[in-house]
Amino acid sequence: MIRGALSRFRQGLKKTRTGLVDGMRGMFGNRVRLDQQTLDRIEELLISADMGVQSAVAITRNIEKRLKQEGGEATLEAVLAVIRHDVLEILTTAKPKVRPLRWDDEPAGAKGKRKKQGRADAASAPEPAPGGPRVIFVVGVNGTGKTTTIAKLAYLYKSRGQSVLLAAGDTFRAAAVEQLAVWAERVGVPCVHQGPGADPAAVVFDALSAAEARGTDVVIVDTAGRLHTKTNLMDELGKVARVIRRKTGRDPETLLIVDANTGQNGLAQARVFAETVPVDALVLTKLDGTAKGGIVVAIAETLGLPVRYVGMGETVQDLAPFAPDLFTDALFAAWTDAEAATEAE
Amino acid sequence: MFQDLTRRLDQAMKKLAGSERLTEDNIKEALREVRMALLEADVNYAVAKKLVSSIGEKALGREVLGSLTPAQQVVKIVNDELTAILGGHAAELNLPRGKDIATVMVMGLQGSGKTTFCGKLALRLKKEGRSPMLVAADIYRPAAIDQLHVIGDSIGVPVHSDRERTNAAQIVKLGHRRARDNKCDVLIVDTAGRLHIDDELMQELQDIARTVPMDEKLLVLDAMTGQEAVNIATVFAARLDFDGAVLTKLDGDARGGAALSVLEVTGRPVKLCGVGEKLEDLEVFHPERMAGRIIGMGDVLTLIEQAEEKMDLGEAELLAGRFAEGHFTLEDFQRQIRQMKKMGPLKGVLGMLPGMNAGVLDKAKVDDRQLGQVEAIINSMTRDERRRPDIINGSRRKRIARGSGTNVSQVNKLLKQYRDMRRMMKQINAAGGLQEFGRRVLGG
Repeated sequence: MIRGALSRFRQGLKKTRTGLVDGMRGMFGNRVRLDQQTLDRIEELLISADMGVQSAVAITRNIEKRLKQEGGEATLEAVLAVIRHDVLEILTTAKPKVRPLRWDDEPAGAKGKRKKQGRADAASAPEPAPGGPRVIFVVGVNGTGKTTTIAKLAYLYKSRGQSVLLAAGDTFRAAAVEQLAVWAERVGVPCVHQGPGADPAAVVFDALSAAEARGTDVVIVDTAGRLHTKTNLMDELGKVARVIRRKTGRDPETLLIVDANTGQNGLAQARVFAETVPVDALVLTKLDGTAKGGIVVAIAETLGLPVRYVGMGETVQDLAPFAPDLFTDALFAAWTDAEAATEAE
Repeated sequence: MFQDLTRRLDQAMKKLAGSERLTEDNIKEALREVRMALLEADVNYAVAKKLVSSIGEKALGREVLGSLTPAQQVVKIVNDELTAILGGHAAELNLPRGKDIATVMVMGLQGSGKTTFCGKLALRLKKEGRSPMLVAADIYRPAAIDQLHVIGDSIGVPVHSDRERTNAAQIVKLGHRRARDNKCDVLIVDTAGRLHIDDELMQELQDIARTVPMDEKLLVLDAMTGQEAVNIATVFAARLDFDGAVLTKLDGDARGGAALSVLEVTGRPVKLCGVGEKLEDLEVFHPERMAGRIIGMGDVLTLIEQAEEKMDLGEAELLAGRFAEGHFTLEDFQRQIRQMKKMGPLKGVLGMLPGMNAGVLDKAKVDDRQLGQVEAIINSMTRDERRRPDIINGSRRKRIARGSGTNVSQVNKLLKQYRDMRRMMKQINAAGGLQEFGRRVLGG
């Protein structure tokens, strides 16, 4: 299973990989000389992967240092090694510069009020069942692939022997409920939904009640896509998250779906979503094209949000755990014959 | 998060103050900033490079105009250059009326917003007095057909679909026939998307276009698309020779540099843009408005022009002087409001400022009526009251509230705001002027 996922991951990144490395080889040959033009070109290549200007500038600076150490010239491999090292470091160890919102982080002024309300809620609401279902809350802007990702997640958990229930929280877009229902049927899991235009918080409440009654292991909540600039829609999302918290006694595991085609706006998206709901990790979708998905590097560097899964195809099996080293390799590592051989296996 | 270009350039060109001419040396740093700003806006790196070099050529040797700082001068050149590229291509949809059925094919990657756009276009055409029919040629995505039916029903436009057939071109052909039978005059074809550009998809789209010749082949592109936009546009141009692009999700805060890339690389214009979730939210693309958005400077030039045109400079100076002296009465406040109103709706004025966009404005909940209310309250005061607001007692407040159609608490609120403002001004003056005040506030 894991092996299969990894090979799909490699396969999905193949186009990306050849594009960047070939690009570099075509530009520099096998030796890279230190001059402003070279550095500009490297920077451009990094930017062309949507990695963001800030990350690109930082990495280019490190390459400049390296080239100086090497006496103004280095092999292409050495340069790629610097890039690989830097990106990997960002993806695996970068500390969040902006701490995404957690429920414990109420602003100082609101703290007292919130606490009081929390007590009142605790008194009136029944204690959530200990254990309870694991709730996965899926959010993102329009058209990133939330519903498809949910189908893939459902398949993943089901194939691990867990019972799954889907909550059709996208009550806004035409036929979104039908789309989720079709996937639920294909995967073979139940789907709780109401009519179009229903209150998403109510749908989610129903789904959680159903899951508790059935002893379901995992509930995956779909939400309507929304641009992060729509304040009222973001407020609505916060409300759904609060309903889940109230019902289960803890924050949902929140996944932000990011389209690999997304440019620098991905950063603004991630920031606002993380300020609205407690985002745990990203899922990078549509990575099997020529899109490079470099925006996750910028997001990891700026917000410290890790990537958990990568979506690569259109069938329910096409979801793989994110492997920072593989992703980085695929983005920048030299395309050696040895690697090509492993790929052929 | 992004600094607007003017501020960045100011920083980069500080050394330049006093220079009389833009030279190769002194604009180097500035051009680097321009390049970064373009890249941050998702303008393709090759396009950005080309633009920067042509901007450099234009800027070189220019005299620094007395009224502009060197940075503003460069920004103006950037703005002119972008507007020239974008503005030269403004284009309308080509849907001939004489022909029995005009045809539109809508294509793009998954999640770019094709189906929603089809609905928006159908509604727009219907409002223009045409009778469109939608065809569901996306036979792959679950519930894509349902989605188009729901949209069609909601705007009263017929939808042709076929759940049995697996040949998209065949479905479109039958749809075309049905449109003729139903006396429809525009056929809008919603095609399948893919995760990326693949041969199979291109083949299917080509088959459709061959079976039913299309008057308009529109590529739908998400405004948030990054560097990949160029790849997408290039392949679609080569394989399908699309006529124009549609930029969706422009109501967000994406800079939309992708639009510039598409224009530069394929020469195809952006014709329409999606600006909201409702089916009415479709607009004709205004290329000239994109320039400011891409470089994140807002439409400052227009704002300055408007200010110069409509504000009475003498009056503005007088007000500033009174402000500095701490003699700021409600009469001055009234004048200030009148000046502001001359500039047009507040939201429009604020929208032209750098860093402002629909999202920020929605958040701030800007409301012109509030300004109107404030003005009404002040207008309902006697001249004496405006000059010496301290004389306004309870019965005067009641009279003012009645006269302005507000209530006493609103009058109180305004008076409190005025008192706060006056107190602040006194503090500023006591602290040794505005600069000193700022230093104390920020430093402390």
